[in-house]
Amino acid sequence: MSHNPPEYIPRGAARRYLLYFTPMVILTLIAFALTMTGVLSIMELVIALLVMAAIQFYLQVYLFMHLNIGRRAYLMAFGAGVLAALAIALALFFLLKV
Amino acid sequence: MSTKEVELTHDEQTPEERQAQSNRVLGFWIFLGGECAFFAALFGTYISLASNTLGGPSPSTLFDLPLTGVMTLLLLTSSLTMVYAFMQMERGNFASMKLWIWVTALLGLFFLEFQAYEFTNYWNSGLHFSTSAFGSAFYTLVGFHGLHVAFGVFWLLSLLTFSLKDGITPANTSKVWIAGLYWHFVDVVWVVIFTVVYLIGKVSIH
Amino acid sequence: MAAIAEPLGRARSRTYPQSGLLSYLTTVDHKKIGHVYIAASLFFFGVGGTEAFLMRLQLIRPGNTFISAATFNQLFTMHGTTMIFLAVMPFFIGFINSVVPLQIGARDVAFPRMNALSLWLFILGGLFLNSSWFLGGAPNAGWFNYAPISATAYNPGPGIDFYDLGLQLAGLGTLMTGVNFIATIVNMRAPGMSFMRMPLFTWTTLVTSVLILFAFPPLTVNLFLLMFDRLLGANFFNVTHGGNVLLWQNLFWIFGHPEVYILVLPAFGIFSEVFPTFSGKSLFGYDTMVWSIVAIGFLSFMVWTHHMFAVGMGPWVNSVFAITSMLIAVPTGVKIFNWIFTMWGGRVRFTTAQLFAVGFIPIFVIGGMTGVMLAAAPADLQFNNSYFVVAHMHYVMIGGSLFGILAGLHYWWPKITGKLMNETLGRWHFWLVFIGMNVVFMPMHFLGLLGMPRRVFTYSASLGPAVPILNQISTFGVVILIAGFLFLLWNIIWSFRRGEVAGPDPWDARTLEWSIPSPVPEYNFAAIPLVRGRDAWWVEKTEGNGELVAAKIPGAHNERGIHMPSPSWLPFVMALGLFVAAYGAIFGALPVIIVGLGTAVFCIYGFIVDNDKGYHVMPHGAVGEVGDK
Repeated sequence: MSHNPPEYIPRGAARRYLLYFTPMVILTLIAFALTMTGVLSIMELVIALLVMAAIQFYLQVYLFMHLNIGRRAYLMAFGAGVLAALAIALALFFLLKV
Repeated sequence: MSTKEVELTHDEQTPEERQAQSNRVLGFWIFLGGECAFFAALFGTYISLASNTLGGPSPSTLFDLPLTGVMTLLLLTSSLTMVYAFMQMERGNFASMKLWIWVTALLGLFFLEFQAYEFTNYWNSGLHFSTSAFGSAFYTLVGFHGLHVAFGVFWLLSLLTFSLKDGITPANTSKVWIAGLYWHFVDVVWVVIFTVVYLIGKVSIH
Repeated sequence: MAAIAEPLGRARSRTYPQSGLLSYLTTVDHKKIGHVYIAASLFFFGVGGTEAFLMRLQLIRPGNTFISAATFNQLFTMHGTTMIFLAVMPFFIGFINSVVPLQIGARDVAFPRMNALSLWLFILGGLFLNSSWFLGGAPNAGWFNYAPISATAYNPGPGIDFYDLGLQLAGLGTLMTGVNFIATIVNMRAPGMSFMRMPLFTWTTLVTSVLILFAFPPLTVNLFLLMFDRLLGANFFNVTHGGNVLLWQNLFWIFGHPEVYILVLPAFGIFSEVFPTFSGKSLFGYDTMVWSIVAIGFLSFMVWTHHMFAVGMGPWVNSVFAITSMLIAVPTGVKIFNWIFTMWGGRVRFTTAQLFAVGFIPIFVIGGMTGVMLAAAPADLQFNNSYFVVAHMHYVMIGGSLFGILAGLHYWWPKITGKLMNETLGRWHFWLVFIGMNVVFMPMHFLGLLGMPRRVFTYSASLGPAVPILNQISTFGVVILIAGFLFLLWNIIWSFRRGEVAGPDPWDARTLEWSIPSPVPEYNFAAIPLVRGRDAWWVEKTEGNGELVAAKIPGAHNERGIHMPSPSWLPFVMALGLFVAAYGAIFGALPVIIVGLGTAVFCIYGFIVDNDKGYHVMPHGAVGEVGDK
């Protein structure tokens, strides 16, 4: 039987989470602004959007879902899922693009 | 800071309770790995079919970005309130925890309401499920996400109505935690959706 | 029976059937769940086998009119679907349920109620799918059900909908099993059992479960897309409205190829238990065996387009996948050598299980070789869709999966039932199946090379004089196979009526499941064992006292007895709700769908809010939990 106490229990003040929340909102606003004002070319915009989405993804998963202090098994399970997801989505895109 | 540690002192819990909690959280991360593969298949379907609009309504003509922006902020904020709910539980403030869970569920419901409003608008503008491959793929991908949000709301409200009436126990802590994990995951999927479907779609699919 | 020392929670206020058939409906005991999986798989195996027999009768001569084309299409579709989803996979899941918790020294799986839910989703999904025969026609577009022939325009009957919804039900159950066993193996191993001390069957279960976790969701999505096309007028596979038929093929094979490894890895695990036990030697090259399983699992996701070489995806795509498909033969080959080296220098006992293990080697190697031939994309353009492929797949699936199942059945039968089987009957069973299988399927290689296509209800004599003769030989072989399986049936009945009592360790085996009584008591282990090496039971027999050493579990209280989870109606009722909803969808009856789904949602609510504390039992003899208090 496992003796690991649940290490998912986070410890933190409300302020800290607000600190993580702020960049999430800012990134979202920037993403929408860039798209709606059309200041970037399509290629530049797509890259900027994907980078910002990746950062948001990291913030949510590591800081809100606490993958940073979780067991290695959580990272392996979820990480494998993300990798499989990228492989499946990209494969479908490349094999099927008209 | 955190005073009353609700935890999981080894003295109070039986080995099987500790095991059950550990299993619950691990199992949920494993399940989320599978959910990644599920949404990946939906995303792959979408990105390979989205440009087939058949001359009908398309992302650039149809999508209402300000509305999407509002929905995004609603869901993002609900993630924060979910974190607060868990923090309150950790501190033993049962009533505050319930309040924050209510707020989270409510924000989720607002999100769903806006989603329904958006879908109705697009439907009335001529984008039906059967109009084109784009229509089918859009409603399916975004619709499945919406179903996930709806299930999340159902889950949160269920937790409130029953098992938490025992107050804060070690078992309940892990149950609220995994509900939170689910909720954050659904928000993460939305980040990918608004980026790939709405923002990139708006500028690239005409 | 162990006494109930202290019922808590639900078990005190309501009565659950403790024994007899009805107790199976509410059980959350992985061992009983295993019984039902195995029994149901045997039943569905008979159904799939009958479908095969009827096909072979039709093909005994050219221009035969025994079975119509329409019926034949349903037969090959249902044969494949039933054998894969309802016979082979659940059989292995039955062994996994019966054995894996025991092999890791655990008392249960991570999620007992979800385990029961998986079982009922399989049973009801299988019954739902097979009820199509009587309710408007079985699905008829092959087990892989390509678009657009699966579309309403070309297939207006309900058959495809039965396929779609039946597989959704059963597939959901399988996905849950995957999650359950990853969590169980990662989280519930006994103290001292590191990953590299786990038995090989547990390793293959872990990798198989990971494959399930990532392969089944794409299938689920694919089935939803088809359902939306058929029932709601969507356009995923409708080319006139922007859809793409290759989307179905890609999503299907992204699932389908890992699926065939899901079907064979557990067999590899079983052979890795059987060979050492009956050679009296530890497995040769344990580390390499583990790494090759992981490599096979990983690579299995990278070869799927080899099912689509003839689709026209271009030379780059075909080349890449041809290479990866050949690559996957390498770790498999390594395993074959290691199994042979395990026997080398050992004192080999040819029990029925060992016969199947040894028999697997030549058959599977033949299938593997034809697999590499098929992986060569240019050559595949000739073999594709011919009987050559049918020969290949049956050599690997029968030699690998089926022989693995039969080896496992004869190996673990004493542990599960407490009785031995009859070795003479087992020998007849093995030889008839081994010979019969070759008589049926070897000719098919040549039939394919001579140009006979697969999935056809008849063929022309103008293909050549050999073709009808080879078909006749193949059909005759089915009779030998049937005889072989009748011996199995006889052996099963014989064992129940006259089998010797097995005792805990009839084979002088090496892993933990053989250290406890047969059949296994409700609580599995009287005390959680401390694992002191690989082949944990062998270590205690050779270097210890011949008994397990109890581990110390912090916080455990001896006097309370062993904690057990309560039985529950939720899994069965939830599966039933989804089953009812599926019929509602077939017949377009919205109220039925709502009632079914509503029941399922209500059960989900039950799962979420359930706070049952279980009950305690006192074990026979030994003390129960060894705590530090």
